[in-house]
Amino acid sequence: MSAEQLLYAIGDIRGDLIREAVPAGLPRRRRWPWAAALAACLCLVLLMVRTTAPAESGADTSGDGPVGCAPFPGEISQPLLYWQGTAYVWDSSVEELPATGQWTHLGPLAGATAEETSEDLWLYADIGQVSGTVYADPEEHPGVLYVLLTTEWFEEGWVRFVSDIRLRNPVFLYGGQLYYLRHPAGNAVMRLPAGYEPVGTLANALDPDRLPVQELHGNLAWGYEGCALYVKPGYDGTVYVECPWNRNPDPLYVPAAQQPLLRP
Amino acid sequence: MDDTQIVALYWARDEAALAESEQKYGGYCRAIALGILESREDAAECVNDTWLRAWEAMPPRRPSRLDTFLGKLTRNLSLDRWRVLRTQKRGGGQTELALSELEECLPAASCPEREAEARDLAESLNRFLEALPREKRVIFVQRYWYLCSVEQLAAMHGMGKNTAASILFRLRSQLREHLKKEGFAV
Repeated sequence: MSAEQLLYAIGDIRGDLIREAVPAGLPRRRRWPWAAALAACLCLVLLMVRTTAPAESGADTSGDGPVGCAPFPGEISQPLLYWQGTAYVWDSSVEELPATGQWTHLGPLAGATAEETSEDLWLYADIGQVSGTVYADPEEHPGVLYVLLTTEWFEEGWVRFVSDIRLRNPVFLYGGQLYYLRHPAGNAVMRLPAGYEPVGTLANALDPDRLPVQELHGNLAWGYEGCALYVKPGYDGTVYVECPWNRNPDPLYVPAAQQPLLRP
Repeated sequence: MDDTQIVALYWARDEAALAESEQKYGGYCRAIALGILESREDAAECVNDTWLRAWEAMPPRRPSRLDTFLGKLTRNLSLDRWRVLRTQKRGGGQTELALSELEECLPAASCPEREAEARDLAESLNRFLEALPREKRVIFVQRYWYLCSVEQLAAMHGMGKNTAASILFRLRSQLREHLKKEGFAV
């Protein structure tokens, strides 16, 4: 066996071993898909414009999904889950129910086209079959629901639904203000603009389903933990987070701003 | 977009699958390719080839996780390119060039055999890694899967360069023993 063969064979080790070792600064599998987040924001806004009390009218069986939403495979619109008159947007699939929180079973999920729909708990996905169970922690995590989805178009697993768009962005707290990280693609810069100084390093908040309350802590996916934050003294606009880039000797600087991502 | 949705796009032969893959995993795959090739142009080409390979593989494949599926494709493509570049760099090494060219002519019949061997070896590596303490396992994978430098490993794990190097040395010795024990010729 040659060293080269061994090097290729290492490429075929199990996925969990590879994921466990993603180097710091290298983007991990994202929990906040930005394109979907933007589309979902649009959906929410458009849906609010179209109808003020969707939950009261029961399921919409017209098959006419919200205008402008990102397409879902199989002609499905961006799924929205309604509970107690609030719309929760499909955010991302997750490995398991988070350990932080008292997630209680709310009940089975009804599809928008099912004959019997619960007034409080139904999924608008413009598809025939929907099944799953919903979990909530309204006291501690009012903006998030988790669903164990078991339906033919989705491999059984957990999906996070979010009603508070601020929980859908990588966000951290600095100077008492929340800053939302932009997606590195198309936004990151190779050189830090003049006048910026380091003020500390970012750390991960323990609970991904709540907004950070501790200075320099945040919901930091993609390996931003431990990265330096740069600000321009006297300027409360864009700040930058240093992002080491594997072997590239020059790090990238990813901008963050106080405005949540509402437009591309 | 969720992985399952992206996979469904590939199955539906919707070219949006390529854009969604680039959007979600472009950075991850580029970093893997850059770790092997150290040239932005070569890395970018390997990442583009990754989406095409994924397009060819799905269907019939339906990976449950796209990150490692695409990452493995990028890694293999980058290693292949690295081999070609190395051969070219050595210049007059006609033996290497000829060998590299002849590899393409190997009969297809030998492929299943080689694939089975590679699978056995990967399974043996899984067993070796499972038995290691977590930090050692992570260091090994970062060095030999992600091709991180020893300096990077030292920085990431808060240790000196010499310590990182000696951990790797011990891990290689352990792997050699493990492979011998499992019947692989080393």
